[in-house]
Amino acid sequence: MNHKFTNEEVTKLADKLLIGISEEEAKDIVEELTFVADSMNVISEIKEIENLEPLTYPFNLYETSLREDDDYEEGHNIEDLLSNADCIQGREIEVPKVVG
Amino acid sequence: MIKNLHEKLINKEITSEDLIKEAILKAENSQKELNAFVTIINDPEKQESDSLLSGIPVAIKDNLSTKGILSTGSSNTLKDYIPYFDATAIKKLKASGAVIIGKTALDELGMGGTGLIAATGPVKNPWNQNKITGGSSSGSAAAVAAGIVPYAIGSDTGDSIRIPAAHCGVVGYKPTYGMVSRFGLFAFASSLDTVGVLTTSVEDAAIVIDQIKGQDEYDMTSWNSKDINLLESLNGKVKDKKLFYIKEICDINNYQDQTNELVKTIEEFHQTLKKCQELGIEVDEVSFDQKLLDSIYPTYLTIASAEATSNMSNLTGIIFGPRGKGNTIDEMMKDHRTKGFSSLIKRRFVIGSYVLQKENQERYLFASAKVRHLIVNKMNELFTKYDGLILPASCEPAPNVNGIKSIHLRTEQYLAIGNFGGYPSITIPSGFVSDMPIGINITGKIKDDANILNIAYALEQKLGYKNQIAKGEK
Repeated sequence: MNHKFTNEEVTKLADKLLIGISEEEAKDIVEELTFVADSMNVISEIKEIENLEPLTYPFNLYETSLREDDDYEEGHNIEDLLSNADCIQGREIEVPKVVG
Repeated sequence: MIKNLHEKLINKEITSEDLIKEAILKAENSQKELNAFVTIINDPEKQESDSLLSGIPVAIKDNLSTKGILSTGSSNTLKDYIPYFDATAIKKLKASGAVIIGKTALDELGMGGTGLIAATGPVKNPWNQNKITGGSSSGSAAAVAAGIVPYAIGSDTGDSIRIPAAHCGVVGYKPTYGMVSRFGLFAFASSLDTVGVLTTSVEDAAIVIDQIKGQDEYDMTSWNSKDINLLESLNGKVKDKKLFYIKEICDINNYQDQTNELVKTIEEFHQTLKKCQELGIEVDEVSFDQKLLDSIYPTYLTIASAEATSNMSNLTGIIFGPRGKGNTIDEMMKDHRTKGFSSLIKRRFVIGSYVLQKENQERYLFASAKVRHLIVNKMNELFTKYDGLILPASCEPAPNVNGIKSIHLRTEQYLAIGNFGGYPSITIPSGFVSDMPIGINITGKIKDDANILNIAYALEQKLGYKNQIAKGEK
């Protein structure tokens, strides 16, 4: 039997993601999560997956190599990195006090 | 179309300035009706090159980073974001002399398949404004279908190039995973994301990807494709090629709800198969386990949501994006994310977070990744016997805007097979149902893009919808 999702449960999950949701949004999420859970019941009946590893990338044919130690790039320009932040102070991003 | 424009430019029958001016004017005039653009660039950057793309206008999906140009991903969380670098694909386009005249709207951050969920509002289908474009490359498809630009760059994580191509009557090509660098593409689901193109012909799709493909040190999943020249491979010789279709998707008796449009789309598909046979292509029917087919959408939803939740945890409004209100960092981030994301995105993130919880991983995420493995194994085996899989790109023409249910925006998502295995996959227009375009899709084995495009090229000539532009209804 499937776990029965509730509005409270998904609201708490959203809160962990720092996302606020309305009652209506919570209801929709419960509905879709229930669909996903029901679908997993169907998937669990597919016997052939039992001996397979999870596939996390489409194929494993990557061509990588180690670069030479002296072959490096300059870092990013700090002004560029700060150019999209709303609140900055000099070369730093301003945030409310987080410690002590 | 691109070759033709190139020749006219070389012969000085037209000038690049005129082409660009015309594209910008068309884009501006179309906005009220189609709403395809987030940004129209009135004074675009130009670089000379001897490539076929030189001097020709292009539109770019707004989830690709363009240096100095607003790149929002159609999300309010990035409504003022201006990248300080170009995505690798954009850098290559610019080096080819391509002229970027605008950034196109998408379903927020690439999620969603309708064209209705952009921060700038819904994108309308140039064939009929009461119909959806499909998504998420909705603005790119609409801009090409309306004849504003000869081609537009898109991205495809589940079918986001290939469905809008079908609904808008244009060509949509998703190359093999990693053939085009993902560097500078806003990451949605990194194991599925692919940069591709929307055009009005297979030849144009080949020309564009030839220019932007290549190994990139900034994307470890990109690979060396120097030996592949797509344009040169288009010879139309397809005799003795072998395609298969999936019986369960293409048999009308397998559907409970047999709408007129479904019946006609399936009939048209079988007519297209006959045309393949007339070209000398062998076409076989292959049966799939229905349970496996039914698992494609929930598997896709689970994997894509999990990856998106992780990738987009950087959207906080602290280091970029509008700063949220609050007394603590957490309150600020929550305000930013709550106000910035649409309901659909929130749903995806919560689902992603749920399946990523340690206690749920086995039952949800790993089970889905195993189904992905099973499907890819089956496809790889079939690709030892066949050149490609042919399917209707969608089992219906573009639905009405008001006919879209709010919850499961799309449950028919078998084209995601192409993303599960990283396969090259192309949609081309194949006819009309209820006065709206429909398309067929061909998917092949990895790195066999030249073969798949050549089959599509031969079929395109037989079908006769090359260089098709929408004759729109308001």
